[in-house]
Amino acid sequence: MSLNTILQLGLLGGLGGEDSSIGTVISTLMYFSFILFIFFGQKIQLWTMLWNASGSIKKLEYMRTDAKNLTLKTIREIGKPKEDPASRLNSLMEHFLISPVDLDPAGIVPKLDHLLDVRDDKFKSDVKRIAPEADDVQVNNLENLVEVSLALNTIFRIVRHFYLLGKKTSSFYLILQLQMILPLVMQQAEALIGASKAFSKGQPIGDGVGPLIVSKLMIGKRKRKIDKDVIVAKTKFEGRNAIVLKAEGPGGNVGKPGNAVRKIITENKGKISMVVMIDAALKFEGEKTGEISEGIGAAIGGIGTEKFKIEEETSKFKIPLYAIIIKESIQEAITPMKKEINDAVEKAIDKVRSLVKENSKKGDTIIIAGIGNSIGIGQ
Amino acid sequence: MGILIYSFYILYNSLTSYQEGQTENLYIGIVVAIIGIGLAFSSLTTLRKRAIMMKEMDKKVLTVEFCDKCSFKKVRLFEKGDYVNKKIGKCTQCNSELSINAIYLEDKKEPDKSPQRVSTSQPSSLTITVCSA
Repeated sequence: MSLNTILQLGLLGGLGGEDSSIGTVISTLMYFSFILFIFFGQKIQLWTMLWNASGSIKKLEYMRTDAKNLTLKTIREIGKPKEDPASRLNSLMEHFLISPVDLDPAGIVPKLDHLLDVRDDKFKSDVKRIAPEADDVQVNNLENLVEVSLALNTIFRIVRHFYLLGKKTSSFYLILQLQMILPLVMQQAEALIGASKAFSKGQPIGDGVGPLIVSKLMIGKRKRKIDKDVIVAKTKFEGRNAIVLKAEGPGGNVGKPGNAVRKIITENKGKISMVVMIDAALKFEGEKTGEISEGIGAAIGGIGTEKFKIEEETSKFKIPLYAIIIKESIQEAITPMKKEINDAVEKAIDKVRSLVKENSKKGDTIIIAGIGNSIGIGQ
Repeated sequence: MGILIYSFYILYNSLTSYQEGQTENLYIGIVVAIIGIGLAFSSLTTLRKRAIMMKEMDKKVLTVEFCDKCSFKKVRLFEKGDYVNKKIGKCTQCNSELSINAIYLEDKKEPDKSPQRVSTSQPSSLTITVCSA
């Protein structure tokens, strides 16, 4: 069947054929679209971008509802509340924190730290109120779950705000900026949905690799709570007296490792040979998950208050600060722990071993801190 | 897939017509074929992405029970209440303490790395027991 036959049969919509003026139609269409794009090109692009953004907003709204429903289901299952927790959960999902004024930045860290403590306590007590039957571990997991719902709600509200604002003002550049960051925002939202499932079941997440490594060094040792949600144990490590610390598990906790390191250094009158911090860190695209790198500095994320305390204390006593990171993506960090990350545990311990051997002497006291969320990881 | 095959068919026909001296048909054929191939590839890519996503979502979380003394290892599906370092009773092989050693997301490539001795006692719930003794 030749093209002519196809055209005559009308399979291409009656285009072509010996008697048709297809050439004229095509060239007229070309001229018309050329003129159309000269005058309305940006408008057409704006509509396309708005159309794309509206699709993403619908997806974000669905994710937000999904996370909220999962949170409500888990609260009802674990907490057995007498009243309907929906309205209280709605108000928790709109919770916010006003950062302290930074016109005069000196002394801002303690202020921020105080506000974070207040927020954490308030959040925890609110979660306990809506889930009265939940134990401490479950309250921590539920708190994490509510945080995920809050994050998804915030993402949805912000994206919708810029979408509607751009639509209202027909601002091409506002929508352009939104469209440019949307793939990354969607990636983060999808990761948060994965996190909500892990938190509802109490499964270890990728970020927990630091506490997981340290928990292996704590097995069979006497543990004590040194600060809010932080557990320490003393152990012998390559002939050194190692003080190992991690967030208290198996509930979802990151604890306050800054305070813990400060207390340990004070208890030992500054006689600490080195501090090794182990944490999950974001990998670059193209890098393998579970790869381990070694460096200098405080390997700890978050808003910066804990990092500040560790840096301040170690610099005060001139204690060398080493970092070991396990590479993973943002999605891998908050979704159930991948096998590659779990397999990195032994390699990371070997890395710590060689780092300690090279940089301290036998009999020295050292600190090994596993940083991260210890959900699903006991001690 | 049909669109893709049909687009290539149109392209082939337009080339045949060109050889017969019908230049106009060649251009129309090329334009239609390119649009068709583009549409087909776009929908195939979307389908592939969806399939990968479904595969990722289908992954299961596994719990590894391990005995430090005799290296008895049992891999099973994660259950609520499981956590790493949880003591779960006595080892069936040597009667010493058995604990949860790891919890991780199932690796689809895992069955390729065959362990020393594997026995499945509960095929419906994926339980793999490995004993190095």
